[in-house]
Amino acid sequence: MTNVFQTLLSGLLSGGVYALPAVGLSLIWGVMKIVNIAHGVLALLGSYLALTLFRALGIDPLLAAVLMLPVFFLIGLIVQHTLVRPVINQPEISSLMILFAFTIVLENVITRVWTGDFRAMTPAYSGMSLDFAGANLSVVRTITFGLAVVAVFGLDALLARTYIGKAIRATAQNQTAAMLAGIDTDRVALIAFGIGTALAGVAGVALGLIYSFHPSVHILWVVKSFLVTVLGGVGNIRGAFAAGLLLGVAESFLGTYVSFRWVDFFIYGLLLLVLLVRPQGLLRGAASA
Amino acid sequence: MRRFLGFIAAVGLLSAACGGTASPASTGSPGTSAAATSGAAAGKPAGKEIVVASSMALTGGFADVGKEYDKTYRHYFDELNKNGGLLGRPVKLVLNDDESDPKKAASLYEKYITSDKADLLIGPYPTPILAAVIPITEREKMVLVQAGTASASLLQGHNNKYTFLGFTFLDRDYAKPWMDWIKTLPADQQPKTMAIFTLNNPFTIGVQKGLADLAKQANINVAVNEVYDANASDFTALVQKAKTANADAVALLSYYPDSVQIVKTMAEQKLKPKTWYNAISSTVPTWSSDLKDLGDGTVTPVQVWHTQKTAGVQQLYDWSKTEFKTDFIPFHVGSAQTVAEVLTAGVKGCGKIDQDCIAEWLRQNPVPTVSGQLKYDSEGIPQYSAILVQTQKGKDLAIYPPEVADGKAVYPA
Amino acid sequence: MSKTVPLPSQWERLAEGTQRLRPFGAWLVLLTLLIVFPLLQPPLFYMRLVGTILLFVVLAQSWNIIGGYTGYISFGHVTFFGIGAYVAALLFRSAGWPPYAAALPAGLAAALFALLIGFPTLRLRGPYFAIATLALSLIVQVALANLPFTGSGEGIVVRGGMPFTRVALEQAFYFCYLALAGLTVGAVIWMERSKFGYGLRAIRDDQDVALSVGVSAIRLKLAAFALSSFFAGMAGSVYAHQAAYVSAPDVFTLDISIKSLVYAVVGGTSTVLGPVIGSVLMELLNIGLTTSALGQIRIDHIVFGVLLAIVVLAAPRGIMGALQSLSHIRRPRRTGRG
Repeated sequence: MTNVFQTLLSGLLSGGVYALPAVGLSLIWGVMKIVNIAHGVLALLGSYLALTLFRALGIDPLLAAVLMLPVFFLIGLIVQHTLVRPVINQPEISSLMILFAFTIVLENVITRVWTGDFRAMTPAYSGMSLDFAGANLSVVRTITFGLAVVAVFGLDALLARTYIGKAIRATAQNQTAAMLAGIDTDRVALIAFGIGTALAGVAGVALGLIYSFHPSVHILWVVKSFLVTVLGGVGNIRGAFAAGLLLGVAESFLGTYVSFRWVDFFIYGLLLLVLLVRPQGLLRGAASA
Repeated sequence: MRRFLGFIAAVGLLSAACGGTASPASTGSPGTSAAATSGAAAGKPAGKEIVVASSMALTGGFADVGKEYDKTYRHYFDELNKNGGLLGRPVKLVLNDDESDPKKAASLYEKYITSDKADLLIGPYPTPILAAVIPITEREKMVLVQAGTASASLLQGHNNKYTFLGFTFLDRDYAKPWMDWIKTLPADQQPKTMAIFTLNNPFTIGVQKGLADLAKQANINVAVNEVYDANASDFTALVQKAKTANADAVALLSYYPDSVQIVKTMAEQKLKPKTWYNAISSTVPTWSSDLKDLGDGTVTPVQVWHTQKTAGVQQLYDWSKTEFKTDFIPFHVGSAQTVAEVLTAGVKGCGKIDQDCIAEWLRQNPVPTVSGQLKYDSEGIPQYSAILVQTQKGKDLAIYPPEVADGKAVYPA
Repeated sequence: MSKTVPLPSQWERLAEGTQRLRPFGAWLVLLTLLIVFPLLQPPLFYMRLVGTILLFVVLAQSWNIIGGYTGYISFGHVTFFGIGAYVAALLFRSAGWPPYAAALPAGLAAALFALLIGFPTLRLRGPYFAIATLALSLIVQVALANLPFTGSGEGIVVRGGMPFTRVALEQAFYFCYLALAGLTVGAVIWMERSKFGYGLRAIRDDQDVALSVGVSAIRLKLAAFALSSFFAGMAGSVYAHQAAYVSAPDVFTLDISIKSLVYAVVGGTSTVLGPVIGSVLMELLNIGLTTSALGQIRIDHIVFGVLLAIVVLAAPRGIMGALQSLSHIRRPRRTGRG
């Protein structure tokens, strides 16, 4: 049935874009063992910056996404160094609190600069679709899916092939052992945060291309990214990608065949369920993953 | 402390650099015709100012329409002051941004009433805001003329004595002009299957209920009747459902940002119904520039059209053409004007600023407005009157009822 | 030869006094002032202002029970506030219950929900509990916005719950909030000195050690969570009548969760006075920032975030902690003091 196929395809496309913010979150979480609740608002900053570049200078959002990488890498370094590092020896909750503080500050800044109006980026190719084996593929979503694939597999390659990637993986697996092996885990944490944030910036551009956004959506974005991360396994990049696709498809089928208005309930309910049922590092007393 | 100051400085610089969406300090455009609707002596108003206070969604999710209200209110009171003011006194409009947030609106109105002691109030927009404000104004016994909500659940059955509606149709009648027009089509061409997309909001749900009833009476099968939450961002599944059901009539009961998203999704998924309706979006001036040709063919209700022969409609038309760069009067400009007219009529009719007197007067006397002569019932609701407008090649034309139509309907859309 | 003990300075006396709450007298005086205030018929605006501050005292202090004393930071405190609001609205719609009657069932409903959801979630470690509470507030919001019997998207209008006229109505709401604030603060005062409170603090400081000395962690945590939610729910029920309209997206705002947390943390968690001071100062700041001429700048959340960051980075015990440190700086080393 073409409709099932269409639903599947649409789900895959949006799922790929869920994976994009999730992999950055997963990376940071895996290496530093902290949940970066600011990940969503950082992505949103990327959306707004891309919007401004588009409106004011006519820069295509895809080009903006590339420009975001170094900018957000830098932002990530700054945030890690000034906010997260000072509380690294405090209980876990402190880093969450300070990132939460940063989140509400940044959201307010965004609102002041860009107002609370709902925004959307509409490059020339929005509203267009391609025909693919009888199904309609939105051009914008295909492009963002491609962006997600490139980013995710780029990160994967970085982790597998480069020295810094190996250092990151080592630190994520066992920080003490990594230190003993001579790895400067402080620097690794800093760089991982930078990379994660860079990906958040790109994610923001992608999300901003398909959805309309306003200053408070970041909470929804970070909650969904959190779900994808946990489903895929914290620190597992490919897992996050697969989980993202799964989530997209689940949403698509739920919305089309079950009930559209209850989709969000199922999604947040799934998050809660996953938090409660899934072990590994989330429960008190359990060894951290 | 330094970090705090640094933040302030940074924000200030950024706001200065990128700002420009702050509320306009406009004084309205000059040079509309000298004869004002009030017909009062064109002398300079003198004496103590009458303060008319309002909050409005100048930023946030409802700002697209909120800005229309802001400009129209300001224009109205500027004109009024040029023509002798109200009761011979100058009027000062105090209007602050409630950021589309009901709590902010509520606290602003409370401040106006209890702390600032405003003389008169004028209504904000839209339904969630009014839901928070009406209980306050009723409690404080202050007249509130508003075209922010047409929600029967808020306006009827609560013994409202001070609330007056500036719209000429309630939520359940919003889709009536569409359905009435469909009935004029040849029977074999009428749509058979309908899909309704409704935002989870008191107003849009009210519209949906009315539409579902009307569709049933017209023997149209409502195959898809879906509600979505305000946080929904991806409408693909909804559109898919409508496509599967072969819906040839689609209704978008949503606010502007969602409507735009849904239309884009419909284009991507190639859902092309014979007729499609939107409750409150397509007369926002940016509709055709945001959607280009994707926005063509849709129909929507309005209450004021320049082909009507109501008091002051020509001046309003001339002004709104220059102000909003459209060739029609945007729906909410018409309703905002109506609200202001009703308020001043009540004050003039009463002869003084007395909330009870104004309310009583409005209930007893017909009010001439740009929407026609309004007769209010005991709950502050006027009689029904609506016009159906269609977007064709970026232009809006009235297609129903025939006596005000200035264009021929395009069907299928 | 014994050293002479220097007399405590004014600061020390203040800090000691506030910390140990020896002067119940001070609370009594405050309470009396707060009771007399509305009876003097002040401008409605100011009565409302104090009423709102009292509401936040309830929210921040109730948050303190689970977030401060038990050490389980919640990002979803608004969940229980919202549940309370809905229960009150439903009771009004079906049976016309006024706020003071609805408060108890509203609080109990919130507490019951906390017990249900607390059982699985309180096993989670700190940050994950926080995220779970955030997700919870979203879930409950979506559920209440879509269930038919809760008015779904239309919300519930709650007008006429108390048949008073203007000034008397404002006074009635004020007294409702005052009563709740008194109850919540009183509960925390009792809790601080009770075995229950000691148990909670033991859990907060090191749960494993607490368990090893026989503290029944899960039971205490659940009780704290339920107690915290109980007060939040009661506050919600009064709010429902005051706002006269209850609808999920308006009631379950993240802003309320943020304020409950920030006011308590900035004021000083695990103290009785901390959330009170925090609420008063921060809410005044908030009002000043959002309604005055200066306030058109609207940077209230920036200020909250910055203050929160300062507390986390430099002053973990908030304003109360700062006051205590001040007294230590000025006090020379005493002998015989712990």
